[in-house]
Amino acid sequence: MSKFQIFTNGLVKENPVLRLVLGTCPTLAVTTMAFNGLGMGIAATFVLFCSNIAISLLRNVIPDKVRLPAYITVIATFVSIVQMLVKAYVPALDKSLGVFLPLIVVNCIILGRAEMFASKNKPLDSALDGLGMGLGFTLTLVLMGSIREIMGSGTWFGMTIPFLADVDKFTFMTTPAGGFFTFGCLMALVIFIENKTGNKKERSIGCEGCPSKSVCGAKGGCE
Amino acid sequence: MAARLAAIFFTMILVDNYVLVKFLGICPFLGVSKKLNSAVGMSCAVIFVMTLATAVTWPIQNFLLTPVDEAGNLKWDLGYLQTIVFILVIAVLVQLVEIVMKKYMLPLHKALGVYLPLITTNCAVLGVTVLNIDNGYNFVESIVCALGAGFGFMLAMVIFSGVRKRLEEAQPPKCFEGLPITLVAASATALSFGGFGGLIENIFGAI
Amino acid sequence: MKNNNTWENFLKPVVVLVVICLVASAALAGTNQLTAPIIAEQEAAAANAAYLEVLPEADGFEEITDFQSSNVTKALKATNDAGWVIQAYGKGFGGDVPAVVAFDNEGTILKVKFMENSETAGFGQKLVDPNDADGQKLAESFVGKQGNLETGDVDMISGVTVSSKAALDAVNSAVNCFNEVALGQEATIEVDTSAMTPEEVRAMLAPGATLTQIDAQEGTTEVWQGDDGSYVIYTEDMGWEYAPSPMTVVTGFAADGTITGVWVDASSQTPGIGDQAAKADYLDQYKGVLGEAGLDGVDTVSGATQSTRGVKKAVRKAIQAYVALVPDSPAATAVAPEGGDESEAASEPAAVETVTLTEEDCKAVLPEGEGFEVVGSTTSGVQAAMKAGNDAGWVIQASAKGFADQVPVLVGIDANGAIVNVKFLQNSETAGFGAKLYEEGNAEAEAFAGSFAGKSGEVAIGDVEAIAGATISSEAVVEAVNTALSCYNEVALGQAPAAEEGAEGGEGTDLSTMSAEEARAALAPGATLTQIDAPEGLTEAWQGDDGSYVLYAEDKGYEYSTAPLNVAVGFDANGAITGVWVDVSGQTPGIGDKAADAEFLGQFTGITDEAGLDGVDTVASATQSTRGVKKAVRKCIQAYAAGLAS
Repeated sequence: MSKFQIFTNGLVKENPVLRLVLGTCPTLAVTTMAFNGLGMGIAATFVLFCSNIAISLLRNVIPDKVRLPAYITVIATFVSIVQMLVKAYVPALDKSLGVFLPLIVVNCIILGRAEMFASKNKPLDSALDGLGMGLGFTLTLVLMGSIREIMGSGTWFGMTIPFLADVDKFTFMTTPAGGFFTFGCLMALVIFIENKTGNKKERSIGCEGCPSKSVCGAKGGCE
Repeated sequence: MAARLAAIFFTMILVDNYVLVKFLGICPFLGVSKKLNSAVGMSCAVIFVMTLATAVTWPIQNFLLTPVDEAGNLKWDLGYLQTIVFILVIAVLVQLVEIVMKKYMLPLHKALGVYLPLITTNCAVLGVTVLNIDNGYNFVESIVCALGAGFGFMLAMVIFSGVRKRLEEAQPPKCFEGLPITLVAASATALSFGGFGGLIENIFGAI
Repeated sequence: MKNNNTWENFLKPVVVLVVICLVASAALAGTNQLTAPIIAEQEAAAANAAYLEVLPEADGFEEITDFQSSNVTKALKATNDAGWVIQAYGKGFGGDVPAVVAFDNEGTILKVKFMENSETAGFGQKLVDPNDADGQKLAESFVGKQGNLETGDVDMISGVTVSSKAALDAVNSAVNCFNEVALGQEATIEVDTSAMTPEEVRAMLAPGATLTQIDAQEGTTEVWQGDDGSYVIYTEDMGWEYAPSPMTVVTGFAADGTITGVWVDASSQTPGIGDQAAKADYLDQYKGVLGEAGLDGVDTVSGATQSTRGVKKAVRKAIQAYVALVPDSPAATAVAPEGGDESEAASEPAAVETVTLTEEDCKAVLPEGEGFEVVGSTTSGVQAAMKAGNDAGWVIQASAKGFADQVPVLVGIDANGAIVNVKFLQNSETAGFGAKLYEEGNAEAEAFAGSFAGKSGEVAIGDVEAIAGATISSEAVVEAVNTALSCYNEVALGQAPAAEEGAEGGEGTDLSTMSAEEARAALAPGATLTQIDAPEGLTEAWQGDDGSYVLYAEDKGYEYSTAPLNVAVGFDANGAITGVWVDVSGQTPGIGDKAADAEFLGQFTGITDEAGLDGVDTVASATQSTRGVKKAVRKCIQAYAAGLAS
């Protein structure tokens, strides 16, 4: 794959959320507002970018036996750094993301990409992959967040939409149930497009990039 | 005291359900809830790991990372190490438990052991340990909270596996087949849990 | 070879991991150094934002650190003299409930904002949620007020008692601090008596004396004597009926017999409610009390009735023990303090607290009345009786036992004996049921109160619009109103005071508080009773030397009762029933104990045989219990007829 292709891979073809079905928890939780989605996406991209590079650099040093704890440590370090930076410079985001900021550490996307890509590729490629995946994640989050925010609160990034000001809001969208619903519909839309373009992708919830794939898949854990 | 613990427990199960309200543990929720057996097995593993993790991480936070002296002042502040310490402790702990289980409690391992790796790096477990600290619970309250979260998870899983059984017969539009319709069904389930708002405060409020 | 393996398989992984961890820690520590000060700044700015929110006119604050008032975190004076902002906290359910209060320079509260707390979600968290109507209502109800406030002054959040009280305490602490730093008054320092050691407690109650422990008297757990004639006596009382263990009450007596103070360990009572019994506001009432008579002036705390009543009982025991120790002390012969109570409550342990009515209270139910004066009444159940100086009528406050406790009612009666108006006072009935009575604006309560107007003589429950679903509380209200009407008969018409008809209070009819001997004596008056072998079907049989008998039988009564009804029937020499005594403790309280009602039991008096039982009606709504009594009485009659009748 060319460098460019590696980068764009994460945007559409292997979009982590809509195609690989990774990182579903933050997708559902933080997308009540587009701003939160953007913030989470950027934070996750930063971690993804840095950890991919770090792990790629260390890929020949880390023994296979301990790769999981090692990856986790590296990722956790970057997550903690991001936490501190956000707390210091964008405290509003810290408040709205809440527990999901530290939970980036267990975001399947990051751990999954580390396992699938960074451990087998050169740093530059890994960096691009990280950026691409992160961007794809962010774009999806912003998309979902926008839908939910516009329909649910009549605002976008906090700005009130003029012609929606007097319309009754579909507040269902901002509830947890609305999150599931939006995600489901969005995914249905993507599958619809796939069917039309003949690009169908088999989805098995989260197993694709999950580090435990070999373990549970073999024993029938996931469906 | 007992009333407060009961209030925490039931709040975690119903009002603040970890899966359907807090969105923690979605992957195993969507992945394992197809069959009732695996749903129950997974939930048991989750309850177990959550409680164990809380039991270990709470003392670590309060005695190692951010210990306070009698006057309530921090002796030293290593709070920024919380994320990394917690996740590593949980990962190692579960690994150890799995080994011990495999060696000494084979039947239990057959039932639960499969799911353990899946939960280790899962939002739900790390989530509950971090939230306990954020909420400022003491040790007993944290354990009760973890138990509640786990049981809430089980409740959601079991209910949802029932829903999915119905889905098998359903014939949604082609583009909804598979994951999308499952998500919409989850949406309906989450909606039902929304009805619990205000329940706990009115039951325990009089006390 | 082997070395390589060990390196590869064991050492290398460990080393790699350790190195990674070290590097990670270093990176984190470094970042922390960088960001920690910025984070601290952010938090300070956020706090300042809170202060500006409550006092927007201020352009800046200077912090005052020199103050003594307890429970205050910060005292800030606006640099442009716009006012003061004080941050204080109260002890809530989970921890501290902080509040930021803005005052103008005179001390009027401008705004109150509740800060982040760790109270339970959905309860105390309502205080912090800007979208929560109840929380906002409470915060707003402080605005414009001055000085220390009570729960009645603000809109407490219903169902969130503990956190609301903590919020109130927080604001009061802020007020105290304001008084100290802005008005220069003396600081109110809360002495945390609950954290005192026993020695400290004793020293507080008997200052300056050297105390030595002496043998505990009957009814006390510990007695300490001071070298200056003072005493510190420890007693116990359960307080709240479901408390896991009793409260310890420590009473200090000065050499002249007056109480120096009372300290209570209320840890076994319901937190936030029963521990009011340990609070200074309540316990201060005991200071200076002399003798048992002095206790009449001590009010219990509504909402914590059982706990505070328990303290009163324990102090009474302490006083009794003190009097036993120092028989010639003035405490032994002290009479009720002058002008203390308006009316005499019936001399029964069923406590009906006496109250003092103000002119305003009276006018609420008798608007035409002026110049109210106290009159004495011996009608049981009456808490206060006032006559209007302009002869417009009478105002009587009476109470009757409802579901949980006494239900007090204020009744205005005109000069002809007809009810003018009825007002329901605060009670401890169940929220949503009897508590509706005193809920402001409650339509059902208003209709109920209104339905009494114009009635006189005696009111039956069918004559008025009782609150549906709150039967027991409504019946208590009717009983209380009837008590007030009886009192009117006594004080206005000069009739003999009526003894209480109900299940509680009233001498002579409340057999349930009598001991077994007393009950038998009441059932077979004048006879000397000896116990004989109980015939089949009975649990006990006593024969009097004048041919009378007292027979005991049992019946389950209510099918789910915890213990059977114990029934004692007295027969005179002619075989007619003299009376029936019932122990209903195993039946449903408030319902099954109607089987011990004098009204119901009175029906048995005079019956000579089983046929006579046909005229006895059971009490609807307490059917199983009263039927059980009837069955037990039948057993006694059968046994009497079978063998004992001469």
